[in-house]
Amino acid sequence: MARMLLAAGIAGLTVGAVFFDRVSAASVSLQERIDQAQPGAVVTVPAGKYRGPIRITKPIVLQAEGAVEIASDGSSPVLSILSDHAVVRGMKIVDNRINPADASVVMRGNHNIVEDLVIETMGTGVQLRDASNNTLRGIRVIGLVTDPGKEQEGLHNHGQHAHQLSGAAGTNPDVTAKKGNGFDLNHSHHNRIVSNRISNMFDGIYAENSNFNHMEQNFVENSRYGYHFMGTSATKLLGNTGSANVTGTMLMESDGAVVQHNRFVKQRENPNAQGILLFDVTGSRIEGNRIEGNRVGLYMERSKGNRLEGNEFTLNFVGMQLKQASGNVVTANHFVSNVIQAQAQDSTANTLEGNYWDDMQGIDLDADGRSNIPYELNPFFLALTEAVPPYQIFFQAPGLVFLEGLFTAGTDASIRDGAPLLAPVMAQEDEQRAGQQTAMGVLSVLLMSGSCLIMYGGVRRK
Amino acid sequence: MHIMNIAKREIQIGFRNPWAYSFTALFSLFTLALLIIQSQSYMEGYTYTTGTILNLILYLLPLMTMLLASFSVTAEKEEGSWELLSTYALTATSFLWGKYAGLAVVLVSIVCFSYGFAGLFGMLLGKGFTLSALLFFLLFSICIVLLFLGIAMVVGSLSRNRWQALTLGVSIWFFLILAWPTLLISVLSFLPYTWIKPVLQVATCLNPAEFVRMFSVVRLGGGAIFGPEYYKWVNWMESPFGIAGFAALCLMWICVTMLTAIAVWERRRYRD
Repeated sequence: MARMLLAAGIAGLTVGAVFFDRVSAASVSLQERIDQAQPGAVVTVPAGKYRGPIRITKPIVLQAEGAVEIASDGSSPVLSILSDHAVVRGMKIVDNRINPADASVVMRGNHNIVEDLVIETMGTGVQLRDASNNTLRGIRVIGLVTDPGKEQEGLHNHGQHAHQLSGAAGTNPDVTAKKGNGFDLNHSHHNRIVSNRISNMFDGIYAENSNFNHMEQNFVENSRYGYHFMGTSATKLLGNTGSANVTGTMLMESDGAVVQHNRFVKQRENPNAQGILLFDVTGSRIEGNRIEGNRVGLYMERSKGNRLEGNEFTLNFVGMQLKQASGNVVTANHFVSNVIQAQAQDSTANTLEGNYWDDMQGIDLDADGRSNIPYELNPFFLALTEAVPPYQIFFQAPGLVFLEGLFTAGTDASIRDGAPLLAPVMAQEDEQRAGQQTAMGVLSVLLMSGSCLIMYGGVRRK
Repeated sequence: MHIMNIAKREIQIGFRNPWAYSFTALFSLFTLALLIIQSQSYMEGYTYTTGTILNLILYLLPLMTMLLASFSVTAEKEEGSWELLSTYALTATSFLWGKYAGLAVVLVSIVCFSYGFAGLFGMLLGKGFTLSALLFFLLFSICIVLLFLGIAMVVGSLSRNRWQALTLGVSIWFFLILAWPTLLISVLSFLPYTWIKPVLQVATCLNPAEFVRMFSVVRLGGGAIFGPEYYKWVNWMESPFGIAGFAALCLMWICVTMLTAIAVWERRRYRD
């Protein structure tokens, strides 16, 4: 077996050497053409395979014509943008260095535009260092590092072998490849990151000490954290999606963030999974997000003065969890079918009012749409499933509802909504329902007349 | 052929029984109440309201099914009509399957009438069930009826008279519906921790109320509420195999309960 692997490795290396000899000649000319271009010129890259590194040091437009693929040389970033006002468009970047210090694409300038790239990488996709006012749009970042459990399958995949020519993760057992981030920002401000798609990375978008960045309509899946912010200010996160990550969005030591209309779904495989995690976050607005099917929908710790409004928490194990949080406003959110709607520890000084809890039957005496009975969580089921998780199969079982009723006395849950809503705020699809009315009538009449006929047939004396 | 005749006779007896109508009235009023609950806060997919409605159905329908059906079976013994029928070449198998089919028609008609009534009423009021919700609750109810009917046949065969049937029926209902989690939680606390999940899974397959409820919740897209322990089950139920597996389990349940009822009936027949 070992001999076969060795032979395969040698064969692979020979092929690789031939492959790179052929492409390097072309790439030297590409770099030369870039170097010779005047600032402001458009350099078109004909279809073909090239070898990096490509360095852009002046404001030019680098545009692919057809399928352009640039591969790594095994030591430096595939593409570096060191200039301001440059544009790079429409190429594929393949980087198979194992655990590199820098990313496949490195940006150190301002006001650049990078769009429509496909980046296949063993490390980090795009790095922004002291780079501001850049636009990154329509970039697809695909992580090539396979998870430990899946590595065996990867070895049999011949396509994968081609990508691993220089690194050869499969042939060197001493080095375990670590995933990098999709986009990695450090000391970079006012960037726009729009409509990108990131899969199988460490963090989808990671920003540290970077302010006023704007992320919109991105999609991150199968990564650790979808969107991860450390020490950032005024970050905007609008309409993004995180699916099947460990955590959808994580904000730490940040302030003034706006997180609106995002979707965080199915963050549940990991025992520490959350939809949104806020740690030491102040003055931020979390509004209109859809947080569905996560282990914990929203987790907030040591955070102050944030506003959580109009979010939809559905089918999470725990809808919202607060820990040492104070001075936050939680209002007009929907808590629908979460196993534990919300829980709180050492977090009493928050304003929790006017949310919709679907397990609550309230009474509205003054017709203001809000119940005059407060909503209080019954901690019985939480205690039961914390002790033995398999008991979760009893969630909302008829007998358990009965049992819970016996144990309501003495709820000291710190989740208490003073004036819960009686009906959900979100508009119902009245038109759709109206369209179904005819079909509904026909079915009802059929059911009734059918059963009446059977009854008559039974009663009739022959 | 015998089965058909017995079933026809059962439908006639069933609808001449005033109990059938009082149950129809009760269940119609009940579905109206469900309609009102649901129209207050209807949202797509699985919600707490849907869960509550499923629970209310689970409180009433199994009890109704077991009382009507087991009474009908014991009545045959009490009133001596089985003795009369035994003089013909009629096996217990075709007799009981005939009764099962007839009672199924009676009960399903009651359920259909009630949902039709509630649907029509809701339409006149201008707010009511959506089509998909109505169909969903109807199918859920029919499943419950068909499965508990099998248990009722066993109860009917075991009991000598209606009093016994009532006692046994109510106990089984209480055990399977109300006391189920309480009993399992207390019994499982004596078992090693690692046994809890497999025992729970087997137990769930043995309780029709639970497996029908779980399957319904999963089909409504609410599988996540059962937590990470049951991802494999939930994924499997969401797949096309899930429906086939569920149908197979239901059929198996009906067959096993019917075979038990037939065996019990035969033993009683020779002992008496």
